[in-house]
Amino acid sequence: MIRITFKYFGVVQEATQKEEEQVVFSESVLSESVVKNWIESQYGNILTENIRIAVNQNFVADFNITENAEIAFLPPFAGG
Amino acid sequence: MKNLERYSRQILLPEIREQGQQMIGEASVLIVGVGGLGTLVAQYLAMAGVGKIGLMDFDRVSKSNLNRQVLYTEKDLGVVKVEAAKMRLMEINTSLNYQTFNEILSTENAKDIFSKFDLIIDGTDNIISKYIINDACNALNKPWVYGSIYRFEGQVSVFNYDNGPTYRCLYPENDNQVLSCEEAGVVGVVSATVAIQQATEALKIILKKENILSGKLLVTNVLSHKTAFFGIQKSNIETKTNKFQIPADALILDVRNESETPEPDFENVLKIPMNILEENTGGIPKNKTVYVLCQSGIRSAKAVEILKNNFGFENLINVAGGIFNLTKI
Repeated sequence: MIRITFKYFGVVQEATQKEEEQVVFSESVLSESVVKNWIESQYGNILTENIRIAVNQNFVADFNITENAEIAFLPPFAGG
Repeated sequence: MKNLERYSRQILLPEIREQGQQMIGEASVLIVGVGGLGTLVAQYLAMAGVGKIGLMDFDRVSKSNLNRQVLYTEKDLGVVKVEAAKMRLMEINTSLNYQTFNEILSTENAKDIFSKFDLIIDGTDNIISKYIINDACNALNKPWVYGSIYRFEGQVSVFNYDNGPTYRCLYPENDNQVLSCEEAGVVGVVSATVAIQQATEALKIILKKENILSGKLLVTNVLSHKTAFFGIQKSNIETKTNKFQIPADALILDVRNESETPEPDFENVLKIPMNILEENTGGIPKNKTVYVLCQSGIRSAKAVEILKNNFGFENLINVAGGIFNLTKI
């Protein structure tokens, strides 16, 4: 079991209507695609290509998670 | 030192002293985009005594700017922004060297203008400009302070500092589908929060302080008062340019509001704002290609969808990335 704290920012927060939530996965290893599939199953196709994913407050190219972690979704902002 | 009294309160700080004030006085900073972020950064850098301040913007002051752009007043409506900003800054501090650049940032002019300054501040409101700033700073080996807003959230970071990560290490994909303030909405206190964080980083860079926001993205939400930091790793991303190219005599359908600038630099432009588009489709030809344009490419994509599905247009092409991504073949 792996407990994930999801944190949502910008348009992702608007799509999920949540700043954060905790989800327990039964898998022993969480790949990026498992995480993305879960988000899609809950909220639809909201993860556009330009959204960066941070694991434990660091942006990563791809990931496999084996213990409790925080995963954040950060879309680019453009306003000024 | 000149102006000792003016800067006396900050010279009292052990972190500044007279030596630090001299560093501030010798610094040169260019502010690209003198809007919600840029006006406030400029004001604080002028008050702090930054010796040379550059102001770059193509726009004129409009009424919708006055909820957040602190250097402008009602009497500035219609005035070129960099001139109005300079006038106001001169009232605050006459002892500084102000330089104005009343032009649109482009890959053509960026390096030439940036080379006159030590540090670049991002006050732009569109994603294309952030890539132009990034690539020019990368080529010139200059740091820049990034700031951006989405509704009640802000992002701030320092890129290309001491060979640190760049904007492309954070967002390598330039897909342009990001809302500007004009499209998403913004309230002045959010611009101010982000701008103050940017101005603070600028002063820390000038004073050669520790803990510069390089390799870190600071995200602030003013509604929840939550701030978060995310580590950015340096990656080797190639510079991509994917400008949207169309012929000079092409027909453009501009669906932006009347107040939105800049004007497209094309001969044949049909202006029908999005909110009255469906009642005014009669003037849009169906027998030739029409390029549909807005600020960022999002509303124009919607316009294409509506015109295609509800009015049977098959001749429309969306200008992805909007006006700042548009160029003539």
